[in-house]
Amino acid sequence: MNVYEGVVHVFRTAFDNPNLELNYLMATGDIREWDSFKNVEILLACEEYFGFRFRSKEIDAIKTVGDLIEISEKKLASKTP
Amino acid sequence: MQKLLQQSSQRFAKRIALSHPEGIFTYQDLQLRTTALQLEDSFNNKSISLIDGQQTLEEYSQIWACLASGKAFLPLNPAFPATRIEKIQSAIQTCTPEFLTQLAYIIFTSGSTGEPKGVPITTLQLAHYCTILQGILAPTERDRVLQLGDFSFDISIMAMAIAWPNGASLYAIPKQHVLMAPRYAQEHEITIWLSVPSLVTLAAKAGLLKPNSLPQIRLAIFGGEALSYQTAKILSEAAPNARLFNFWGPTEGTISLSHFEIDRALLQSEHAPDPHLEIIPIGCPHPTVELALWHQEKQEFTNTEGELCASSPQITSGYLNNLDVHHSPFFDRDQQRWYRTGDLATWNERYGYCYQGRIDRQVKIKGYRIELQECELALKKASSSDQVCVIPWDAQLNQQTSSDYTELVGMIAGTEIPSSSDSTLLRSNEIKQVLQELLPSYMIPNRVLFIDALPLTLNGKVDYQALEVLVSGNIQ
Repeated sequence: MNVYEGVVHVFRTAFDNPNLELNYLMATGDIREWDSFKNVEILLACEEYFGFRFRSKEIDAIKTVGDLIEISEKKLASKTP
Repeated sequence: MQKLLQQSSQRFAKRIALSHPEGIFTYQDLQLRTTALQLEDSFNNKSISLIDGQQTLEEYSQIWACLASGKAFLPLNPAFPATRIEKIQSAIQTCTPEFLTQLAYIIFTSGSTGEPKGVPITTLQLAHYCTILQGILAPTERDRVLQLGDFSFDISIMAMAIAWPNGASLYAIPKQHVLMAPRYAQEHEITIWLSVPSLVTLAAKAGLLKPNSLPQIRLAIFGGEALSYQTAKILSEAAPNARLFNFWGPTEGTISLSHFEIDRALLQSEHAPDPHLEIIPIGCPHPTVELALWHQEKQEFTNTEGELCASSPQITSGYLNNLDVHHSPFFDRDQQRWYRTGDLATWNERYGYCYQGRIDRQVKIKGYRIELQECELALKKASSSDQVCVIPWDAQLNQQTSSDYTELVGMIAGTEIPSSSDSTLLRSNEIKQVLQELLPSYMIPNRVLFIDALPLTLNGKVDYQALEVLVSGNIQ
């Protein structure tokens, strides 16, 4: 599974923008209407899309799109539920 | 305050004082860091420590060190504009070192004149407040306290006041993930939940607060804004074993001045069983606090409805920058010093004080006195949304700030936004029809606007200035 493409899909759905482009350094506030509520929407959508659940320590570590992709890749690789 | 923290750091040395994304500190760790800081000139030479508000582990240590050393701290917020920070820094230049040595912290709050008001709180006031919380909540070293919100909002200091004098553990959540608080609360087995009501509403909307999802919470505490029946019910169902509290108070009163313990039996129906519960009461004053209602027209205290005034050793000595002395909220009456809180309330024999909204949210339109909070409660029912706001409007000037309002504008967020102007009109008329059954005609908004979300300030309260821009643009 290509995690980057999955995350892009989640973001495009969350922001209702099929042409949204992401870069690894993007963080909360870098896209219009990207606030704490949108963060929750993105995290929960990733959980549903990839079939896992983020631990609080993992959420702590997610500051950028890059962090989200990296942590999601690790979770899928370890098949942590 | 120093004594309280010294005692807890000795008694609970090995227990977790702070769990933070960057690491875990025991009470012994925090005390050792304080000892090290006390040797540094950069700490010793300052009369007050400015905390940037990034909420790093380092900042938490600094706050502990200040409280443990009898030094004042001033929490800022990274989202403050540079002009506000400059004003704050200018204001503290006026403080003498002798004055600062008495202080635990200074918090700057919004001023109605546009200038932020510096509220100094002494170490004695904070220590006394910790004792009050001990009496009401009885926190122990087995408790795990959720810490949310910016340091510049004193609800964050309340969390520290609950945890640290009692050996409990403080659990800090990263700001950008604050709405994931229920997830953190589950994983870390949080026993004391402390938040503003709007966080519960938003977390529930995101599907994070399902019934029985937080069985380990034993105390669920709301503060910082008006608590609706629905929001209290949501958390009561998510945390079925928790005692539920609503705390009220201005920053000027050392965090809170009253509390109401919510009987679960009152939360069983879908809607509030009593009109006094639609906004959960703020209850009775804390020990050593006296509250009274001031009738503005009669210029005397009343026992019906009026502006809540407080008299207590907990009240600040006065604003740092002594703004607007001609409209000072502090006054003397019957040899007692009182503070006018700007909150309207009524007294109820069963529930204590019942919050009726901000005094500056009471307006006159065409001669009729209107409580905007009452309009909002009705609009919530009519729209089935908890995220509404009603503001007075001057249609002539197309602005909110005016002495000559001509109409009311209602805003609804959290529901589907009609896709066309026809459907907007249809939906708006449907809502107004329902409002006709709930409100006198002069209290029904002339216009109803549907928006994505209510703009909020840094402290999670409705941003009326941003609303004015929104409404003005919409009407144009």
